[in-house]
Amino acid sequence: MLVPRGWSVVKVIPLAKAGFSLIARDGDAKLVLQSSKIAHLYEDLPSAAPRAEIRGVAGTLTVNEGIRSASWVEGGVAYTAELECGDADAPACASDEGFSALLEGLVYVGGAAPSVAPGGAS
Amino acid sequence: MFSPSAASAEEPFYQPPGALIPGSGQGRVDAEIYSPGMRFPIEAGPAYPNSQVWGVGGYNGPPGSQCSAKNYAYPWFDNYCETRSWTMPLCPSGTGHQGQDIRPSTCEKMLHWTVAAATATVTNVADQPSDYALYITGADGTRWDYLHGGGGIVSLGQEVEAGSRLDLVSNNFGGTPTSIHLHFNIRQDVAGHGFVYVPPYMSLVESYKQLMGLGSQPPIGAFDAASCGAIRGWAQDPDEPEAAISALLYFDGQPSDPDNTGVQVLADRHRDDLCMSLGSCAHGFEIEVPRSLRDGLEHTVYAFASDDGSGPAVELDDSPQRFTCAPPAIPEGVRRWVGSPEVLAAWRLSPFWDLAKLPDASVAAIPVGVALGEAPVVVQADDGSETLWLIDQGLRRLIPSPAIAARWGLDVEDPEIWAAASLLGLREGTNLRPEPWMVKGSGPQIYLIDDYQCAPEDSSPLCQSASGTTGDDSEGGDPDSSGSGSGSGSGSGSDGGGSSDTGGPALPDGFGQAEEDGCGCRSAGGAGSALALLALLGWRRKVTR
Repeated sequence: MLVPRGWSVVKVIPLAKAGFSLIARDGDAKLVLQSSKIAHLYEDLPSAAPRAEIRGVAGTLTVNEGIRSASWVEGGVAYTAELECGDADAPACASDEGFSALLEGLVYVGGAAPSVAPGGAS
Repeated sequence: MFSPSAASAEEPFYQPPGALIPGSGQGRVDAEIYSPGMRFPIEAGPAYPNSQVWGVGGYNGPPGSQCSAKNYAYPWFDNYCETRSWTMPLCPSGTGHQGQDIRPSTCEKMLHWTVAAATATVTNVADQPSDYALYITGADGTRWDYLHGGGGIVSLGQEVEAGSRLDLVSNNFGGTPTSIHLHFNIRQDVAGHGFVYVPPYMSLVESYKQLMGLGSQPPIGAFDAASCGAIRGWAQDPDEPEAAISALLYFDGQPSDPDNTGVQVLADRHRDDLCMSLGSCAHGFEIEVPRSLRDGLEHTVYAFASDDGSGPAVELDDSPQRFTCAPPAIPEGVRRWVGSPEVLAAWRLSPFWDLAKLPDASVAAIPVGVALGEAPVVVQADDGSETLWLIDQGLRRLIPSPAIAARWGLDVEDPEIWAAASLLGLREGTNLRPEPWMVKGSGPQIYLIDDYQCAPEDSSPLCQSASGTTGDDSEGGDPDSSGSGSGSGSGSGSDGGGSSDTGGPALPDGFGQAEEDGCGCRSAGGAGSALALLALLGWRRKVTR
């Protein structure tokens, strides 16, 4: 499981067969991190290439209604992270770089990082 | 105030997926329902998915109020991929709006409940003043996002049923209010992409139809009986009451069970008893109990109906049913080895429909005949005759009727055309039996029960019984010179015996005597592959019976 270093973990919710969802806070910033080990398969689903590098792998950084959002696949597990910010000027909230740095600092707990996860450090 | 416009089944209440308000960007034309069976995310209708930015009163829209009646009217507009600077891998431009904005029935905040789109776990709630996002996540990892709401009544980790209340549609957007609407996302882990915001529009359309009773009502029907006489019931699409729809029968397992055998049958039989109750008569279905299930054991069959495929199949009333049928009497004849899965497939023989499982001793007691040829060959003479023949063992065998041809799965639409002299020069064998009949013991070998084809002056005891015949050679010329004799021949293929060398009418290449003696010793694909084919062939005969 990945958790943000130095943040308060509010809750970890196991998801039946899919993975987990973790909610963590740092002041009035909230990070919702969800993992998935079950991919949906659709034929012929064109997609633009990922535009960002997250934790050493290709991924997507975007903003959804003011909520920063990231997705990447690490060690065969898909992750999505959403960051809600009470203070839009907080370091992790102000830019993609700040958000990426937060994600880079996610650490594995409860087990070793997969060998293919260059960004993982426990 | 205004009166919400009425949607009807006759006029589509929505613009097509990907058809955004002109000038608002390039939508994604995608009719996929990414969240099938979803519950519409607002408790009560009507509701109006459309743009908050390009609608009346929006930043880029016509002047007026966001509460303008024009914003609270059909048709819906997709606004997934509407112009934004936000990265969106599935949008044609690579950027755009991630979800769908939905106005509730009236322009009032904190009045209209959002509800769970599916049975799920609450994975995010707005628990601080600056928060405005609520997520629920299903068992398969699909996440449904509800933004800008207030007054939430669920907590982190809570399990919610589809349709249960979550929060109220509002205009929360951190410190700055937005228009009164629900921003709704569907987030899925998609193979090859990772987590993406998938298009929610058609999932909303289908769930709204269910909520409002528009356009598509689920099929109705009943599973009347499953007895050894017949398996029967009826099904109807209320949206198209005169049309015939399919019934789906699943033997020995629910639809989700990988070990079941499914059969699709058209419910188009006239039944007087349906005329009054349904206002239309031809909605019955009926099939025989498959021979492979006439084994003295209890079997279960589940019956469903499906209309146009846009909605889930619906289980019929009184489904499932159970039946136990005694093994059938084995017809007389010889057993012809079906030498490989390829032969089984080429002849369109179904182990599910056509095969009876017997004790080994019973199989061994059946006389051995010639192995079945590699594929059936249907032939017609070039003299204008419409008579169809099956070329088998170097003989011509009459196909007595189109119904029998259909029962054998023979392709009679495009027969080979032979010179009449060549065709009629072949000795005539027995007529093709009314239906295929196969047997199998405990081993992998499968046999077709068929007539023994007696040669002239054949001394076999089988030629003294009803199961053997010399055929009608009155139009076949010299029987000694026509095709194969007893126990010979391998059917079609380029390795056959070629033309007769005895001076009679020539056989086309590949349809003469073979080298083998009919022991059925052709190399096979292996027992394992034969068995592996069984499940596939359960579906092969999707026929109306």
